[in-house]
Amino acid sequence: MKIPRPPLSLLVWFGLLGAPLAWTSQHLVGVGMTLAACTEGMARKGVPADPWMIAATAAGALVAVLAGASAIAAFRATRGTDEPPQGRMNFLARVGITVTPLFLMIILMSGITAVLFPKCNQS
Amino acid sequence: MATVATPGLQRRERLERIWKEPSGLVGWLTTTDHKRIGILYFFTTVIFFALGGLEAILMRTQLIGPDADVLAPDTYNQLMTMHGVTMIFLFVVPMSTGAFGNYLLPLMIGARDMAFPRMNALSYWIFLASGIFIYSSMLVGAAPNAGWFDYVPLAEEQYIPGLNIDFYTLGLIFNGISTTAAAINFLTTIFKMRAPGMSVNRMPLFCFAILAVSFALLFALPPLNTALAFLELDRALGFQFYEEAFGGDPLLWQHLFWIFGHPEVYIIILPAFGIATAIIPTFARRKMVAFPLVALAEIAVAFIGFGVWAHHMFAVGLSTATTVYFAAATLIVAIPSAIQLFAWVTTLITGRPEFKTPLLWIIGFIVLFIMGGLSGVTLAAIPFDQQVTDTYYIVGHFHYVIFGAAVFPLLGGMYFWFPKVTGRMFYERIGQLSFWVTFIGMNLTFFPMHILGLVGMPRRDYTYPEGLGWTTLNLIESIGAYILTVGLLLVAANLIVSRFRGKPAGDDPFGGDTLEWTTPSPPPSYNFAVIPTVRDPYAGWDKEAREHDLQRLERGEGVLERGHETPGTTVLDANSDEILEMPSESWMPVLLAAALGVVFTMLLLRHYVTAGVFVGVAGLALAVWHWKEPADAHEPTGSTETASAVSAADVERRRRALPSGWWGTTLLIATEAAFFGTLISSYFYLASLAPAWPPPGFPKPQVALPLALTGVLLTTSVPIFLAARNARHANTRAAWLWIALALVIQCGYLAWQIVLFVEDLSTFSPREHAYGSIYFALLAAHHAHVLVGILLSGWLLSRLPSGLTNYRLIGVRAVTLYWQFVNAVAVLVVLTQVWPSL
Repeated sequence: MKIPRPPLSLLVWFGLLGAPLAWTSQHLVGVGMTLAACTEGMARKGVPADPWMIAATAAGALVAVLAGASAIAAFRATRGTDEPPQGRMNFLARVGITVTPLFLMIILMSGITAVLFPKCNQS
Repeated sequence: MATVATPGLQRRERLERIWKEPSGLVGWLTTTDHKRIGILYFFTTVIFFALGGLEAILMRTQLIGPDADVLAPDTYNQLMTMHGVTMIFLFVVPMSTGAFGNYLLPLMIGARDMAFPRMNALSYWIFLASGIFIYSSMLVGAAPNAGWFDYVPLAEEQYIPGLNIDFYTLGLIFNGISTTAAAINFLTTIFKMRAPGMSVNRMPLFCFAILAVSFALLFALPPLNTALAFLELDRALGFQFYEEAFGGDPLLWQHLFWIFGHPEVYIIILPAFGIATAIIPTFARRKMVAFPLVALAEIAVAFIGFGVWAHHMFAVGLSTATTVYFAAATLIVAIPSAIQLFAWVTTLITGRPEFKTPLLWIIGFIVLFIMGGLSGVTLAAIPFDQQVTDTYYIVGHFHYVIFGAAVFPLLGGMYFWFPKVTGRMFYERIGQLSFWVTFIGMNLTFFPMHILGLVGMPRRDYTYPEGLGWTTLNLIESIGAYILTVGLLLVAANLIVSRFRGKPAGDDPFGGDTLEWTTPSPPPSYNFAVIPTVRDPYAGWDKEAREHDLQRLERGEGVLERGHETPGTTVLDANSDEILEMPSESWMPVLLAAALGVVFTMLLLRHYVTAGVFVGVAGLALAVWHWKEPADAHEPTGSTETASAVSAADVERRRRALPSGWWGTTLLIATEAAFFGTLISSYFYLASLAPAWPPPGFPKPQVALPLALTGVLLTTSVPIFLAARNARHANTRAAWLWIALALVIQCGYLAWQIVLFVEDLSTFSPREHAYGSIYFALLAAHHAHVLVGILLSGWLLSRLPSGLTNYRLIGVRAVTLYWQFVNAVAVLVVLTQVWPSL
């Protein structure tokens, strides 16, 4: 069975915005959980931080990788002209290809390191 | 010799008559011309720059030697705070966006004005009024004095009881209104007003910088305004947002302030990057290397900048697990900055650079930005940051970034566009001299600060004792500051004398690559006699297309000479969408800004009833403003094009086009969403700190009634939707009836909510605990939001009976969108409100 390909514009936009939005989500979850982990209110609720942080990091990294793949696919499909809309899509795809590794790096660097530290220790 | 009146010349004359504004003081007070507004911004910010510079010189004179007594400690605190506030809020941001952005952006994208010309004027007048408001504090001897980031608890009423901090909080909220309006205007202009053919990939890099900055402002200002409102409520009404003893948290201020504060750094330097990317290709005589990467870097820096805020808080005791999130983002944000840096340097190396004055400032900027950037990267190392926090190392670092990386390009930009704005050339040799003097003075002033910081000199101290080894370096810094002042005075003298005695510049003295260089110097009131078509990001170098423009002018194609017309285009590919009739000069912006000035003054004096009356006056001014409607937009036809030449597809496209008003509303919603997001996050932040929420003695919130009321409010989505649909099909009466039905429900909802609010107030107070403070603040903000929606619906109701114009149809679409957003916020607010009882 042939899997239908997503529309080109979807590939372009997911390739462009997927990784930044994945990082935003992972960052907010991670910061929120690590801040809350050491407060009385959160301790009262008994919500553990690590599983949330690991899940957010894994999900964020996965979305970023998929976004990178989308950006590459969009780039390959739109090569060869500067004329809009194809030229514009190619431009946005190139931007997506470049930003995705940056955001993937932040997700992995922060997510992995944060889990390794005890939650309520100050450096 | 008599001039032959060609059709092109006649068209230019007609456009001049159409677009010309009144001369003299009235002309300046009522102007809506983006160029004149840019010039107003320029001179106003230069005055503030001079004041901020004077404050700096006084501080450096105080610190020239140990135990000096030029300034008293409190005077020093006031000058230090005002210096920071002035340079950031009243000089760099309004200079780079207000002056440079306003003047250049429409010219660079081939538009005749900004998307909302009257709102543009309003932004300026509010900016001016807020600056006067903040500086009036000095006249009454109560200038802000807790540092530019105004940390609590120092800034609370019990420690600084005068008006000092109130000037700060209210002044910055006032200033923020101007900046938010400007950001919405820039974004809508970029989205809707680009010349046909200027698709996203063909937009000049300066415009990408303004795009990034405007987005950043839209989302960065709400946290600041929320923090300021909390502080003012603490001070004026005894709320407890930041009082730890009553469930508040001083770190809440720091989080909110730096969520704004670090993006603000990029807001400050990104326009400067844009100026650099405009100057470098011109003087290197080649296109910018890695154009898409530079564009993305400008956006990426602004975006990642939102995730680094807590690196300003590494020393406050956050857990290491929290800080690593910010350390990682801080390290990575250096990469897009470095991408730009490599692109600038490579463009220069591979080009044929001409080292004229504007380029010298940019090269100086690159050197200083590398130094400031590298010292910034050191601060991503948490242990090092903790050692140098609150020392002069930080002061040295951020002055390299702000003065070196932002002010140097601004000065380079002043030289670069001076011939375009004035029609005259500056004196090249004095220009080069002014650069070298400023460069030397800058480094002498700020480099020793790094060493002083490393040996332990704390920032903000008004003096220091002898014998600590700080004396010589402080002396060098002060001498450097005087040299720096001489350099800046040379710039001013050069530009002032050149304005009157400089040689005529011609249209394009440097061979610029963007569209502003294709206009006369100074540009006429209508900017472009013929709307340019664009095939390349370097449209100014596209000689064939520009030659074609001249031919089109003679033929009368794309001249748009039936009124204040400019083309509207699609967001991504800049296809012709509609022709917009722009408003002309108006008194309303200056009157509205004056009314708001009285509102803020009354809030400062805590005369809340009078403030409320002037809110009404401001509302009235707004209603009068919108009463006179511009003519309808129409299909894209030129003088020689007939209506029959417009295809059915064109008409359909226009029907589906998203007008500027729709974009303006969407962007307003985005910034309001950030505001409510901040409020709700603050609620849960404070809740997470409390041992019990609500605290003992406070009632648990009701669940059933608030949820039921919200359910009733949500039903208004249906009549509002039906109103919009009927309006689209020109069924005005049905649209009016549906809006009226929605309005009745909305008013009923608000009335009942106010009753509940008053009942709650009789049960517990916002002054007893942070729970009450955030509870009432959240609900009050939501109720005010509903009231705004009701007023907008009421305005529509009053206008629709006299017919459905295009302007009103846009109004219906905008109000519909806004109202659906009000409903979405209502759901989030009520869920937050009842959460402790769930």
